[in-house]
Amino acid sequence: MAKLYFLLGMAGVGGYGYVSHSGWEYSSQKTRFVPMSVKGTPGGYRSFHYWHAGYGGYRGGK
Amino acid sequence: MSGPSANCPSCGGQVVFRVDSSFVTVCEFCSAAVARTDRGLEDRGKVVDLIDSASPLDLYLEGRYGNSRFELVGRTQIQHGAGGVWDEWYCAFDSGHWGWLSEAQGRFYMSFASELASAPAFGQLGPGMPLPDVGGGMVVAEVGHAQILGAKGEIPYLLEPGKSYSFADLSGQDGAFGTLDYGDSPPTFYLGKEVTLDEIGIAISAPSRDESAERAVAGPALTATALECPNCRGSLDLVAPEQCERVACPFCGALCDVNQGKLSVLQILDKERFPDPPIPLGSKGIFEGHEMMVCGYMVRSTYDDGDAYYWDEYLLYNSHLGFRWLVDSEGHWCFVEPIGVADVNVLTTIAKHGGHTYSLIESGNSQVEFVLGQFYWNVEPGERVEMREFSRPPHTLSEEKSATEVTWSKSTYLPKDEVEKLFGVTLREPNHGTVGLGQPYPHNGIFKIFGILLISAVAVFAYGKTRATSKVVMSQTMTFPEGTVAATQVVFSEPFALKGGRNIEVEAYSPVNNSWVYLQFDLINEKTGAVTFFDMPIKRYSGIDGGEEWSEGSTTSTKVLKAVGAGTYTLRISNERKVTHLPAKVRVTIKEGVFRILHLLVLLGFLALMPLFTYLHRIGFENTRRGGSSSSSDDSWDHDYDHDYDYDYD
Repeated sequence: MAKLYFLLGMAGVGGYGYVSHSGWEYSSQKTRFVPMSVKGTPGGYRSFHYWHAGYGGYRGGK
Repeated sequence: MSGPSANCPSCGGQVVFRVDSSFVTVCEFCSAAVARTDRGLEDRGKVVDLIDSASPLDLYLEGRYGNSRFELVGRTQIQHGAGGVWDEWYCAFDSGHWGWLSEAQGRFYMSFASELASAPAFGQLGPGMPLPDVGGGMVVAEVGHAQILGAKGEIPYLLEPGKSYSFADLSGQDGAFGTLDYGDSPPTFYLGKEVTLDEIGIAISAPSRDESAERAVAGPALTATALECPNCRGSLDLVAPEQCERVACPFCGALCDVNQGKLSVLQILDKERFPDPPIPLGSKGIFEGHEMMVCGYMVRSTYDDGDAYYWDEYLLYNSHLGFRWLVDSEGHWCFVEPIGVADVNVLTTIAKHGGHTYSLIESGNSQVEFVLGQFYWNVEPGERVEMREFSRPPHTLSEEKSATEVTWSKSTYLPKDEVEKLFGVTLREPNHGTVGLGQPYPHNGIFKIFGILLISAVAVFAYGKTRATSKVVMSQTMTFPEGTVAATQVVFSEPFALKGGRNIEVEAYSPVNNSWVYLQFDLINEKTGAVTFFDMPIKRYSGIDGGEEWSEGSTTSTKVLKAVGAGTYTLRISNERKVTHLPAKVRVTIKEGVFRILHLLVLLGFLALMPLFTYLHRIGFENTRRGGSSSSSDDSWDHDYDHDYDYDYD
């Protein structure tokens, strides 16, 4: 049991080391690439958000 | 040494006083104790022949105590009132003074006559009684009576053959030893300490080269003397006949008293009540680097809260070490060796010894139920002592106290497998659900590993701290003009650089009150076109309800993103908001490489899980040790063993 704990613990410390070094986070962020057709269009970024996420309408607050 | 010679007043043979200060010399021809007095030589009577005690010492051996050289010039044998014989050797030092070297059960004590302002009366003494004014603070280990038997060589006092006297053996700290000899008035006080032959520079017989190598492990060869059981005529092999007081015949169960090699039956024990011990008498095993032989076996019991608990004890013998014990309690084994009475300091429920603290686990009376083999005292079934057990795994301290003697011993837990290997036998498993008194908790390694992991985690934490610069890479206030919800508004930040490889903290502030704004972000890499998108709502409400102010939410919202690649970025922000007829200000700050305590806490929580469960398990383990160290039960003290000897006893 001690060996298993040691291995798991070292894996945990290693994971913490990886997170500390790489800047990893548990996050809901998503990444896409702007298509060249959009990127090449002046002001294309303005419409990109609609293109990749659409509009759902925020319902937060009171 | 040599000295004046004279003729024995008893037989006329030549007697020699090698030491100027000796009072008595024993005639080699007629065993008369010849004393020199101011009236000349005086015959003080015959001494009996010495019993062959297989002592490693002999007359005229030389040794050193500190920087002083001495010679063993005399010896007496003294009969203990409870049976047994011990030797006293008289050491004549070059400086002219005398030392007493007592030898009993393979242990040696060097002592010297010392001044004592006032000695307590013998009748006032009892075992365990502290004597703070004697020898710098000592404890009475034993009170008893003794009788001088045989003698040889030169004696530093006026020996009276056959004289009986009372004595009290005292124990001091760090092996200090004392004796109050009530044979004189006022009593004589001897003070010294336990020594080994190596310490006093006595080299016991020079063995051959082959023997020397063998003794390094085995000590002096263990041989047995065969006697015949007076009841069944079976052969009884005595490994230390000179120190044997009782023998229980393994064939018929006859318990015999031993008197100078002669056996007399005291009683016949019910051998059928107890099966043969799993480690047979005569078995040999290596302990403390010495070969020890099992010479005796006994079953003892204690009675607690309506239940009788039983355990087995094996008496081990080595002529160099003396006697030791091997104890089997419900399949839990331990090796037991004696320690000084005064070396243990008891404070109610704890005992201190050797700088360590032991906790009281058990106390009560114990009783001898059955014996087999030979013993160095007058043991018999029914013999009772008071016991206290203190534990500090893997060791246990045990106190046994009778009307005349108190002894302390230190046990070391032995795994069953180790005992099996030592004696080449197969032993039962420890009883299920029991914990030995000195049994170490098997998962203590978890706590050590936790410590190692903790140190490792702190090292990684320190490394992470050096990388967490929390550098502000962008801080900008942007305004969304008035508009409608349907027409979502978009603003762009100025371009900013990210190093990459570090997390990113985005903090958004908007001075909303009883309102909300919902922000959608696109973090755009200008070069690669990679877009990381996320959202952050900001809402804050407040008011007064029932005369009390309240608020919820915040004007600030924070989000930490995982690292993105190095490069130049632009932040695209769109919004929706509750109040659209007014412009909305938003201040966005981006930091790269922020320190995250959360990660460390998650890791520590993960690492602590196992030690936490182990700790809880250990509490149960220790409770079992205290409450269930002996689990076999019965309704009466006189309970019979199960004939199958399955150790359940019920």
